[in-house]
Amino acid sequence: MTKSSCLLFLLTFTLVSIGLVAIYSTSAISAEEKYGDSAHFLKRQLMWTGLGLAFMLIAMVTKYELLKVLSKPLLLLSVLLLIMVLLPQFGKEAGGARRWLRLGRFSFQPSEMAKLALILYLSAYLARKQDRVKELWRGLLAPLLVLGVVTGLILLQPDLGTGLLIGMVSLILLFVAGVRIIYLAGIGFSSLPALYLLIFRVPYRQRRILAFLDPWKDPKGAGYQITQSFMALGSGGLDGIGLGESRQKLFYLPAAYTDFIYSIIGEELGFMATAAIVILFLLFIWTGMRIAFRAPDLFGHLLGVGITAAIGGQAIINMGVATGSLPTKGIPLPFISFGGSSLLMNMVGVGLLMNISRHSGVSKLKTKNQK
Amino acid sequence: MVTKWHKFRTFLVLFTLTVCFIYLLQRLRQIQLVAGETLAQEARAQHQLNFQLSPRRGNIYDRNGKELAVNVPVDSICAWPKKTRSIEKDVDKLSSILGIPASTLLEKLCSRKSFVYLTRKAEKGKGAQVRNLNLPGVGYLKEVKRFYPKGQLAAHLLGFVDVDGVGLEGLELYYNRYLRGTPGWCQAEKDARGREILPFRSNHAPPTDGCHLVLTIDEVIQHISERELERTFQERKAKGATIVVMNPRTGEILALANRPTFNPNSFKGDEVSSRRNRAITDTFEPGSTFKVITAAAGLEEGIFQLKDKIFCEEGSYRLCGHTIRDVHPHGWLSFKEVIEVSSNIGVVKIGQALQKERLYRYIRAFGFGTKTGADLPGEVKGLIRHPHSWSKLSLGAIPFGQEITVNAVQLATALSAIANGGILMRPMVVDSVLDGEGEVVRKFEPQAVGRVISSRTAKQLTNILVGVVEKGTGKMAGLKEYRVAGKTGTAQKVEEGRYSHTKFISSFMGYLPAGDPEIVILITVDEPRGDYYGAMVAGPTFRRVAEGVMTYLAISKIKN
Repeated sequence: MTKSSCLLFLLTFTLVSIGLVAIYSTSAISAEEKYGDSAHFLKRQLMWTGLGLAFMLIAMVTKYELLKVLSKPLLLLSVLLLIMVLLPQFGKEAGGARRWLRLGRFSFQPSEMAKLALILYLSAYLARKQDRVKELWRGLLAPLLVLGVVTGLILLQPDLGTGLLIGMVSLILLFVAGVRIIYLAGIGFSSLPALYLLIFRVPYRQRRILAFLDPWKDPKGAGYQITQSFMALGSGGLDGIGLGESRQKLFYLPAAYTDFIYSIIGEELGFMATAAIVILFLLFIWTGMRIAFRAPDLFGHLLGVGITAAIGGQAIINMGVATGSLPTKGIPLPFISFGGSSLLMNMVGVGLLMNISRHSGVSKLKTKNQK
Repeated sequence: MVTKWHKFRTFLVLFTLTVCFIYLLQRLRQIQLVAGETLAQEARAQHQLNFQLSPRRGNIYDRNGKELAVNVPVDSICAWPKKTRSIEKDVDKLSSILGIPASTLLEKLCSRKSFVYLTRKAEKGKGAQVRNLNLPGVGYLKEVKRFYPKGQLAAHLLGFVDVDGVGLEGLELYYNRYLRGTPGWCQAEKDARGREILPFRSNHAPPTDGCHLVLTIDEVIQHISERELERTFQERKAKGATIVVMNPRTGEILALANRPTFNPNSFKGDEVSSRRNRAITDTFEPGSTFKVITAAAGLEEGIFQLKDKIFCEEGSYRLCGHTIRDVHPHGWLSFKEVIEVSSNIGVVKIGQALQKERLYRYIRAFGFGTKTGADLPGEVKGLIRHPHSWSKLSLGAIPFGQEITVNAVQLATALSAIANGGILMRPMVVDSVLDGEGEVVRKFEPQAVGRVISSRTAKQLTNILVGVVEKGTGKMAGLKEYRVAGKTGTAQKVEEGRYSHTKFISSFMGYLPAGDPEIVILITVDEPRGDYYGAMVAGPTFRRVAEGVMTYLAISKIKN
């Protein structure tokens, strides 16, 4: 294993460990009440972690060239699953959205897989067609159509957060692949009316935006989650009130072990822990990008950037929501929040980054030979 | 091929992400370190849970420590409607246990509230029965209920409490501040669903239990009084009846009862009017019993001697165009005989000799027209008009107890003053207040209001009143073993502004042993059917009560 791979694995391991401790601390009481087993969520997350490690290994050792070949079937499979999740006989409805596929006692979120599959597909496509990416019709039409289908299906669930994340990561990939800024701006502007409709025509999203602008105006209503998150973080101060001591997790802060786990970590362990997590993610994206820089070819580079940006971006959105820097969006904190599909896919992503890293030496040899 | 351009653009992406992370760090510093304390306070405020710890309400005992009001544990059946599931099929079982119609229960169980009481303070054991049904969202809470072990006994004295244990009537109301105790408090933390988090209890002060009351009432005397009053009330098919038994030397009320009465354990089932303590809240024209007061004034002022002769006009005396009549016509009678045969005309002449001002002064001195100060709620002081507003006819009415109103306790207290050698005592019901450990917190001492007449006058009056029972109108109240001093009363009730000839208040008041009085007894019967003369209606009741009480007192003296 390369140094970068080692570092990446170590960072992932640390974040997942923090996550497991935090999940037990934040979910024990809810789990005891709901399932009579305080370790209910911890056990599930441990199981997913084991599965994640296995898939990470598979992703790491899969033949590099095979990844390009697999990109299309994987995307097709993802689209299929995204369609399935919308059908009542397969999809599980929760909180007014169909985001989960039932798999016996477990459930799976196809949008998480679609995110990775789309990154894989776009990287392969843009690397293959790198001469034509500057052309609008011959170069950009196909990826934009694919992007439109995937995000469209996700927005139908509805899951605006994941949809936006996928859109942004895709734009980053197009940008890095060399698409003209003016086209990207065009894409951005043309999606504005859709975004307007998606946000300001849906009352609860509109309220969330308004609450984001002034959370203390209605702390019992629209601003509830944000202000509760602030109180959790504020209570923590510099070094926290102690592991397991959180009051806010006692049903004050909703989704304490999923989307708002970061706030509870901040309450129990303080600024020292929240800042440490920011720094761990910072190290993570730097390592991820370092791998991307050293990728053997453009496919590896784009794939590395895409995965790193997806994980980093997701972390920024989640922590941004917890700190009131962004409007409330239900997006888990990578590696830390409870949630199997997200953990599994992020670990596959880490496996892919390690796979790229494995071939970085090859690229050096190649370049040397070419010289 | 990864070109410099690719790498440059990637670098821009990395830079942007890094900037975002650094912004987050700054944001965290702001929230956690700068605004941390303010936010923490906000959080603490919402976690804080303050609740009261209820004290135990004090008991009420009679003068010998017999329990008259206590607390018993009960179960309150309650439900959390949001947690009930498919309750419809089980509601019948619940209905049969609680004795509430299924439809009423369903309405409560399907309400939108998060908590409802199905039955407040049900019998103990109902809670276990309900729990055995094992219905989700239905349970019970342990509470205490006020319980009056003797049922109706002394109901008007004790009063009752509301469902939360707050005194509403009687001593429960009057001494609520002693009985209720001081609630304790507890500061703890709660979760967002309002439940206390036990490990986080921070501070608390225990409640101080309520004080116990020890009454001057004697349960046995009360029982004798109620038994005889009930008998008279039933036999005479009366509208109401009242008895007051007092110790004339101290003003201690030994027994007090009214009819109709109620059961304080289930007062809601009884008529509201039956809960009234008529002995103190209702006033009436006393009639002939009041002649004692007029006589006292005549003697004390030295206007009359016992042997002085008064002409009783052969039963018909015209005064200012109005005719005063006696039941039995008399000619010349001595002062003593006027009272013994209860001649209205004779008493009017005494009143005329006294004149308005002096008569009024004595009426007030005996405590009429003012509250007695007995520690019972709702006392009505009665109406004694000032001589300025008396008519010419007033002197032809007030001397034998018309044109004025009094309450029963006032009348018994005034008679006690005569029995007590002329000193008026303030009537009292509570002897002492004890704290939870039984230590005396407050002792109520007998209180003399003042001397009304000289002891010589008092002796003379006793002499007259003994005559009333031995050879006058009060023969039916006489006892073999003891000399009794007493006076009958038969007052016409006022109906539509005129004196009724069919509705009366019959009464008898007296004390014994006449030489050294131990008890004063007053009985009034409101609208008896058939016989209405005070001697016939209330006289035998007086005798039976006096016999019972004197036997009891004699036995307890031997015991001690």
